[in-house]
Amino acid sequence: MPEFVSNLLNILLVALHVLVFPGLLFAAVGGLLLAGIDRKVLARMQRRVGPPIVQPFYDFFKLMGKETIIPAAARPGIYQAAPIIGMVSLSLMMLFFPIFGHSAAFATKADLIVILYLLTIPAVALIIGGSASGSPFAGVGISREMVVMLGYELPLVMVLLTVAKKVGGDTMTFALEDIAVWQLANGSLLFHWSMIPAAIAFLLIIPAEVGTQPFDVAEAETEICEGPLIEYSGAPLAIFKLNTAMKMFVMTALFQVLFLGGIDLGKYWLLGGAVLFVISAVLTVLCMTFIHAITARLKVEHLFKFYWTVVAGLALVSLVLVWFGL
Amino acid sequence: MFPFAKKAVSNLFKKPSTVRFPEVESPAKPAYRGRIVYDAEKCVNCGMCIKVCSPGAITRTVEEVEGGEKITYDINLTSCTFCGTCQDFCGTKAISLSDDYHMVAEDPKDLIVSGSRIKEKVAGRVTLKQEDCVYCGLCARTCPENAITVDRATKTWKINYKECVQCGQCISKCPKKALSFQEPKAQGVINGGDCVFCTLCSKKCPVGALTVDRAGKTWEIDRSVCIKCGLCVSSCPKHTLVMGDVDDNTPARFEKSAAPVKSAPAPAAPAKEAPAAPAKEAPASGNAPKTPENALKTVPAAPVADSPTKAQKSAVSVNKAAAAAAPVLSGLIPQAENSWDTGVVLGPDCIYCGLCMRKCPMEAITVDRASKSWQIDREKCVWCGICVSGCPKKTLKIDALSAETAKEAAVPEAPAPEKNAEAASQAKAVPAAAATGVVFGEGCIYCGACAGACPVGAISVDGSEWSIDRDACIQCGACVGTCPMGVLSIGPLE
Amino acid sequence: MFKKLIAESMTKSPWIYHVNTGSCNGCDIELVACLTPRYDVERYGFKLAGTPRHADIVVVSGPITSQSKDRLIRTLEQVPNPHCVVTIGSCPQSGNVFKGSYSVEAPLEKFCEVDVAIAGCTPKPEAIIEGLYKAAQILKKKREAMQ
Repeated sequence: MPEFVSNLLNILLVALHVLVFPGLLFAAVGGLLLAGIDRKVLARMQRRVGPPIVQPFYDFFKLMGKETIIPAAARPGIYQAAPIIGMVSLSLMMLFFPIFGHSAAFATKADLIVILYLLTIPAVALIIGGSASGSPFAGVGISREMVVMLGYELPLVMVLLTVAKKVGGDTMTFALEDIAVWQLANGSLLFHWSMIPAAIAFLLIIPAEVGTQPFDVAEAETEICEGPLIEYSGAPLAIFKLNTAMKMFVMTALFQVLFLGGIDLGKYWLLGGAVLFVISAVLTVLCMTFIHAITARLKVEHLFKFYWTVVAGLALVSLVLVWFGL
Repeated sequence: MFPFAKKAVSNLFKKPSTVRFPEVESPAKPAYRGRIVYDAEKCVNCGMCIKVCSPGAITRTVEEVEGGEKITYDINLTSCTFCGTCQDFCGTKAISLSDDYHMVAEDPKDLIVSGSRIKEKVAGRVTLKQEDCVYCGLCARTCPENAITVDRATKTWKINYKECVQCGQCISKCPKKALSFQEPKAQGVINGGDCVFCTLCSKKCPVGALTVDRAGKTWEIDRSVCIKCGLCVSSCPKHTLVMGDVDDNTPARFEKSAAPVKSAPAPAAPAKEAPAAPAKEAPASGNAPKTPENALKTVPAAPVADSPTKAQKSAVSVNKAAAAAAPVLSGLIPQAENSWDTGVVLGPDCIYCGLCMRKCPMEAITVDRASKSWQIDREKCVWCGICVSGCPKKTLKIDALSAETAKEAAVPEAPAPEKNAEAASQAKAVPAAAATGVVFGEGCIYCGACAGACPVGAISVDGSEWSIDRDACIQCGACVGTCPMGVLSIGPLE
Repeated sequence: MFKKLIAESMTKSPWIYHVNTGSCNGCDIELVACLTPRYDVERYGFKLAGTPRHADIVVVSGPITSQSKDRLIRTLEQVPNPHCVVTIGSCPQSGNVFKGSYSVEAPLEKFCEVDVAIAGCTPKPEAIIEGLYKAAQILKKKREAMQ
């Protein structure tokens, strides 16, 4: 009986982790708030008043209340499942991050590799959903989405390798726990000068991952009518929009874990960790907003070239420096 | 990218440039053309705004109510271009564009600006005081309904009461205050003075109110019998009879008493004039006929000798009367058969179509196509000129008669004047060649213009069928001249 | 609670889809002016949507030419409920100066129910904001009526 109770408690705990903290609800609320901050700050940078910070919540709830139209040409099952797949993978990803100085809910020896795979799933879900909608615009959108994925995956892998090499030395560690511990001992990775190009590369990857200007070629609403999302309406669209916000949250959390984990807060770890997390997340989003405010949308080929030369180059510089033990 | 970066960061610390509109009222700039304001009390119902509105956003409804008419104007803002033309054209500034731009409605009917008022019936109608008018034409230009026509050259002022909406704009615009609302006078037939005493009117009159004496040159109407049907007016070949305002002083009798005046180029012997009229009247009107203006000023009512109150006649009839003083065909009362010195003269191009015969109100002309003869009974002819204007070959004219032609004209068998004998024989030669007629060429578009132009209705066009009744055709050439494609001609037939 | 939240969100986040049915571009420019920093309708959550499937408010400008009529009807059919139709300017309401032309099919009432009419030729951006705001309130009523 006690065994059964502890099993039940374990399951409840896991469910709590997945659904509330640090999983779905936490990521959703945090992501939507970050998206709101993004829109508000962007408006201010353009000398506008801008929407309220809770605007993404209104958008989400409004879309939940709209009629869901499934086009005649669509495959209804995949069409409706795609956004859920993306959402599940994003909330799972949160479980690997040691947030607020907490130890992560799920910790493995190969966190970074799992995260790398999970990160591609929302994009793949978008591609699947778009192709299931049967619209030619979505076809163009998903081909662009694939190019963007190819573009940022290479530098992302290089950045993660750099971090692994820096922390693990010759053995290369992929466990986020180890990275956090190493940073506490040796200071944040961002403040190791050899890691700075990699950090910049990572910051440049975030907009492409999230799909904001100037890297929103896949959902270019003025060219290809929102690309893969063209036929989506109502709740599935709401979840896709939520996915975008959650992606923003996950990426800022990842940045914080990878590059800003080295601040020892002693006994105020919970409160200080929370404040630190919020500040770093907001600052990361501000970087993204800033890029958004001062640029116009790139062409697909320019985007690809940019990621494989500039961003990959930055990551490579760090990787080489780290390889030589700097 | 760096200037943008600088701007983005500096904007972050500046106040937003946004106009917080629904919370803070944001007034329109001066001269903004917004919601139309219509002041029904100022409106005179001239309808100018309706006329100038290019999208047709303004409509007017008139209802008969007690004590006048209820006039409602509806200005549909969902149809309006806000061009402001109605405002510019409104003579009384009853319509204006405000700077209110809040024109949002769930029901488009809320966007209709309307106003109505009851307009009392105006007593009388627009009447001209003839003496004061300078024929400046301002009234005609002001009139929103184009009911007034003013001709400065001939000093005529006309109003179409069917068009007139009694807005009174002309009255207020008249610089000489010559216009006013007046009770309409009783209507009646007025003889304008061009009368040739052809008796057509008396023949047409269904109630026998008219008495015309051809020999005595008098025209008389019994106003107590006249039913104002207008048949005489429409039948008058000289268009000298008009419907006009009459009162007790308007003469019911018209007499040709003016001095013998001729504009014909060949003056007859003075001896012939003498018996025509009393000699003492001759100098009085001798210089009158030169211009119509003179006629108007110096001869107040040449033909209406017994009309002391001519000024009271309506404008419509006054001008007719004035025009009648023009000497074109007036004067010269022949005393004897041989005294004809003016008449219809036949030119050389006659094709004996017989149109003149059919048109002559006096049945004075006889044309025989078979024997190619044209005859005129000078005793019946009144020189009305209808045959001249109706001639398809333009060969008839009113001219002085020489002694020979006058004589010959009296002899019915001599149709052509002697001096044109040669030409006349040629003219005869053409129809003499039996096989001529209208030739139909290639390129017809079957428009039917020729059928419409044919005075005898010999041509019929149906679809892509063109046919001519050669027996009816008079070879007048009217069809040839009308054909837009130029495919018809008169020539030998196969 | 969610129902109330959703209904409230309807007024706070209306996405606009703009259809030009042969407009002279005057109204289109003024609609875009509403999105500029000077008028910034994003304050109220208004956003231009790229596809009719995302739209809450369909804004129609132009006198509905025969060429655009079928496309307009197809576009309107694709908009998920609840949605509003707003006309900008005189053209979609009456045809304006083009009325009576062989190629003009106005008024829009012939094809669908119009929720808000914004008059003007062209309306000021303020008037457009007012109209869109009104449409957002109607959206909420429609959502409540759906349940």
